Amino acid sequence: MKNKIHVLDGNSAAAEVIKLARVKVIAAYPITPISPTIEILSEMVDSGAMNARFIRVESEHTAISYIIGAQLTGVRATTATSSVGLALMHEVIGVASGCRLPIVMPIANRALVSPWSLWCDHQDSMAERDSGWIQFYAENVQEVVDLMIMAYNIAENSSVLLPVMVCFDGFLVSHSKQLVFLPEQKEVDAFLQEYKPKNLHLNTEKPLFINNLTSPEDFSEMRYQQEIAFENALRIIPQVQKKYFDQFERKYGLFEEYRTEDAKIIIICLGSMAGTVKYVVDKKRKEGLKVACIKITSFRPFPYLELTEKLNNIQTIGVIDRSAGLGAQLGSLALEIKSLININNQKFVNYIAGLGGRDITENTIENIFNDLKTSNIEPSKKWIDTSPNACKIRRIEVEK
Amino acid sequence: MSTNLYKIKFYGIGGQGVVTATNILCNAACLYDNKYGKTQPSYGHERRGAPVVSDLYIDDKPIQIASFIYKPNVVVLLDPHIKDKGIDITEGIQPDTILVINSNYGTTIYHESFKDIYVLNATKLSLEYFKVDIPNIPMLGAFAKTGIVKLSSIEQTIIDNFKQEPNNANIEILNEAYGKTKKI
Repeated sequence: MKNKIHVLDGNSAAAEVIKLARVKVIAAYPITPISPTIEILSEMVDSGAMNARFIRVESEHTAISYIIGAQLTGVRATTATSSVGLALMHEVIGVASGCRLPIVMPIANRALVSPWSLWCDHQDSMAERDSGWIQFYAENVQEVVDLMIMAYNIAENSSVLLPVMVCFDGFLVSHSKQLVFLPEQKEVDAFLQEYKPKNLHLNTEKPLFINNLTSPEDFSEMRYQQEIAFENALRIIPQVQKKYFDQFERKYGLFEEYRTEDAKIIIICLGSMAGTVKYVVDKKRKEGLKVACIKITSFRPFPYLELTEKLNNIQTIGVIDRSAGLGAQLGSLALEIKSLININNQKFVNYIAGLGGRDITENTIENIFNDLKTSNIEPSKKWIDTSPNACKIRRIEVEK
Repeated sequence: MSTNLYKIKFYGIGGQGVVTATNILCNAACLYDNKYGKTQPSYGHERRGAPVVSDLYIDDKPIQIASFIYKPNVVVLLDPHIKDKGIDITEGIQPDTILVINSNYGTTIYHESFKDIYVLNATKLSLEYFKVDIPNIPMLGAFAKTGIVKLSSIEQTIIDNFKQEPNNANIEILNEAYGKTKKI
């Protein structure tokens, strides 16, 4: 079933899915570029289109605290945020994952301060990559719809019980209107069962201590349970994606391969830039170059076994990171990929691009393919789209 | 390469409805013309009167590319005085790029640069109908002359989008604009 055609931007798509998932409590604090999601949800609740409570709290820290409490009462609860809003949640998002609450939260990716920026890069969600949340990255608005619907099903699976961030690029997806197929309410109801808590929950008849002080005797075991949940998720995600395909005819994987059959040079990336990479791959293929793209859809859990197998026979691998990975040898995605390959036989280069809203253009991708073809192995990151006089920008000479 | 991929760049100033115009065209192409559309609006420090750019892709198949447009094959100009604000609308244009322009005076400065020019005095029409200079709806009528999106599809989208208010004036101005647009 292809569903009805709509024209939606990423923010409206996220709001529509939250409505379709019959979320009962929304607590939020607006932040660019995800504010429209929150505004739309507020209007849906106000008009009665959505049967839920909407609370405008005074900060993101409170928003996530509020919905943790709400979800513990046995309903779906949500918030949405970006950038410094997610950073302000940092202290509390571990409570959601540690309490094993299957909250689904859309994130419109935006650079972290400083320099101050409103625009897209991935540092906000990358800073939370080890927080115990599943992280999906959507390429376009259709993927926001599909990954969000599947996220509830995955998160709530009794052998997973992990919260999910569905990340999409600020402005590039959040504000880009695109043709999407949006399922009807009854179809989503058939795919998502009514929410029932499967672990910790609040019940006045049977009071329970939640998130109490845990001694060293139990702490490692509690963390280990989360580790096992991620391992289980690697198995459950493809099952849910199969179920989704059977019902909605749109195919997903832990990662997406584009023209990898006989590829010699491959770019691996996340988010909206994958669309531009695929476009350039088509162009280069017409010139006879055996190039390809792999887009990572599930960054947490990271599908290391499946990827190792795929990358085994690829001669040259380029990884694009949309966050700087300051002080590390490589960016966050490149670190994951490099550990899977044999650097004695395979050429590997990590590119940093698209920071703070810098557009990743056809030219950027062509430069990367050309560089992969000609350059030597680089031990560290290559800042492919940075201007040559970078170190002179906005430099202040202090008078002595 | 896709031969039917239209890369359309709208230029105007804040308050003229530039982003709304690209949204209406995107809806019209997707919902009524059986095509795929994708807008890539450029957001920054918005303010009324500042130059605004909004990009729109239209194709017969899903649009993969996710960046701004640097080599447009269609340019739409809502503010005829944008050159004075330091914006060069010929930037990145190709030999076959066409221009749809709101102009109350000559278009000669662009004759050398663009393959075809569709011209309409949209400001005059907007002032006649609405007593304000918001030329976006008449410019959609002018745009329909290019044949990239059908006039009837744009009309239907406007009806869908402005349900709450009396909408006849928008439809009338759209059709009058279509009729008055001249191809040079």
